[in-house]
Amino acid sequence: VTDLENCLRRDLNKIAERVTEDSIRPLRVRRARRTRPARLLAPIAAMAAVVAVIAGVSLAAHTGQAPAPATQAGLPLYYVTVTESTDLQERTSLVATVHDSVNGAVLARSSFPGMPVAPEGWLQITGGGNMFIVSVGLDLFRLRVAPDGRSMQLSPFSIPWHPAGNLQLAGVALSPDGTTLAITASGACNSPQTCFYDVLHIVSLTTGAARTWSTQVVSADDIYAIGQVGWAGNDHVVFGGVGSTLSLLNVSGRRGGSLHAARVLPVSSSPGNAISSLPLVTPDASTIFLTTTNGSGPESVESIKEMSARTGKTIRVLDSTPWIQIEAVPTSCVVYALAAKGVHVLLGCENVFGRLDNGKFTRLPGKAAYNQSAAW
Amino acid sequence: MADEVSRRGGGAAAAVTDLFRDHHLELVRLALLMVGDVATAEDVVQDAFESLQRGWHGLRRPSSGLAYVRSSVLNGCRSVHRRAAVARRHAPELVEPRELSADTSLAADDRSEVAALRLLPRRQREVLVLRYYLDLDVAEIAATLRIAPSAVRSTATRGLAALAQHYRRADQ
Repeated sequence: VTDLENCLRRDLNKIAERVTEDSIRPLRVRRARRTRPARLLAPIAAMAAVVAVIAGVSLAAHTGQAPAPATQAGLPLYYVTVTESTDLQERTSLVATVHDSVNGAVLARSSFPGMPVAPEGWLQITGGGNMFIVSVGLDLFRLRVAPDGRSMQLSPFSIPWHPAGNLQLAGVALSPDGTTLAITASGACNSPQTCFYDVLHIVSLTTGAARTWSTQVVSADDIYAIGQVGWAGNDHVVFGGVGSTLSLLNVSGRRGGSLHAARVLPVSSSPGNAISSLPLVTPDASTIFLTTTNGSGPESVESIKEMSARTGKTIRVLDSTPWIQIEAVPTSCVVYALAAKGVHVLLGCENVFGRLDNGKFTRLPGKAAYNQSAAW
Repeated sequence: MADEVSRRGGGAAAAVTDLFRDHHLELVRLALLMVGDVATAEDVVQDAFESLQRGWHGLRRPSSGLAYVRSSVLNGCRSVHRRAAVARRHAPELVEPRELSADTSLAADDRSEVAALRLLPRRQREVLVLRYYLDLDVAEIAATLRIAPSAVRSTATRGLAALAQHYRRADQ
């Protein structure tokens, strides 16, 4: 714990303690919500929204529009967003949407049926081509998109988690051939003061067979150090990330084992250059495309870099996220996904969603929601 | 509040009442640190508990009620900032700049770490307040903000680095 942390803790408490039980005003009696015009109109508005969506989908289906041809080299035909939203009755739901990569137009949309989104859930989507995997907490869904992007199938599946409880997902990645899922997670056993795990699950999506690599970490401070995961070809994974080094592990064997079997790569986070995502690794594991955070505070930008896995050196900086002014507040952007070796980038900038192509930012329709994930 | 929830009846009412009794003060303080104004903080927290009461049966686990109401409080604080930003844009002369008012806690001491929090992006501010005021661990912050634990770690690191940088500049 640093002096800065101590001072921050002390000052926050000092200010918070200005509010006491006695100083808080009595609760206000609110006018019944149903009497508000907006409340009366809410069901009508909800119905109108549903009708509009159905009409839009029907119209799109009738016109049979295919995605606009991707004119830029390496730009995938579509991207998929998964967004948690709240309706007028404040019920949360999860929606997957396929968008045209060129203009962001909605090609297909589907709800996750019967999926209660708990506050503790968070989203990740991985994949590419026609197959994506969505994780919502420990709930997993397979999402198959038609080649033209105009329809999708969404189905839940489960894997044998180990250890069985208290796991927190850190990263999810689908292998390049779409047959195997790599999941990094951390967990605590029954005595969380003494026992923590970092775990890598390798799951065959065709047979359901799972192999596990794990290691015990020494303290809660080290938990989640395993971070993100990415594939190098179909036999190796690279894992690590925030505040740690990256490691390469051969997962082609029939059994799991210890995470210590992984080879540590000379690519690591450093102050002012923190690894924030690990999306792409070349099949021979020689080159890694990742995003790092340069600087800090409101001026922070994420740089998309091509790095040598052998030397740990930056081969080149492909791009940097823009710095966007939203509601008079400068906002840095967060990278959701890379495509074509980092040439095309999906970004969320506060509530603005967009695409970055060789330094050119294009705002796409829709908003970057607070709980949202996206993948090419 | 207790009357209100008991009128609606059921185990939900009792659970919400318990949460209210045990965490109301702490949540008002949390909201204060985010919006810098006691009255607004009280409104935000009352809204959050009303939302919890309405949405109780949609919770996956009753034990997640506290995480839910914390998230609601933070959502409410974000809405306050958004509304203020929009109002400033359209009628700046009508909007009192809360963060500069005399009783605004966050600006009470511009040399403090807390005042410097105002300079951080929203997400970093939230993570640092949850970490260093509520003493939540990474998993709890992730649950509250609905982000990945790895994102919590990186955001906290960036936030602290930004604060440190702010002080280095201030010292120069």
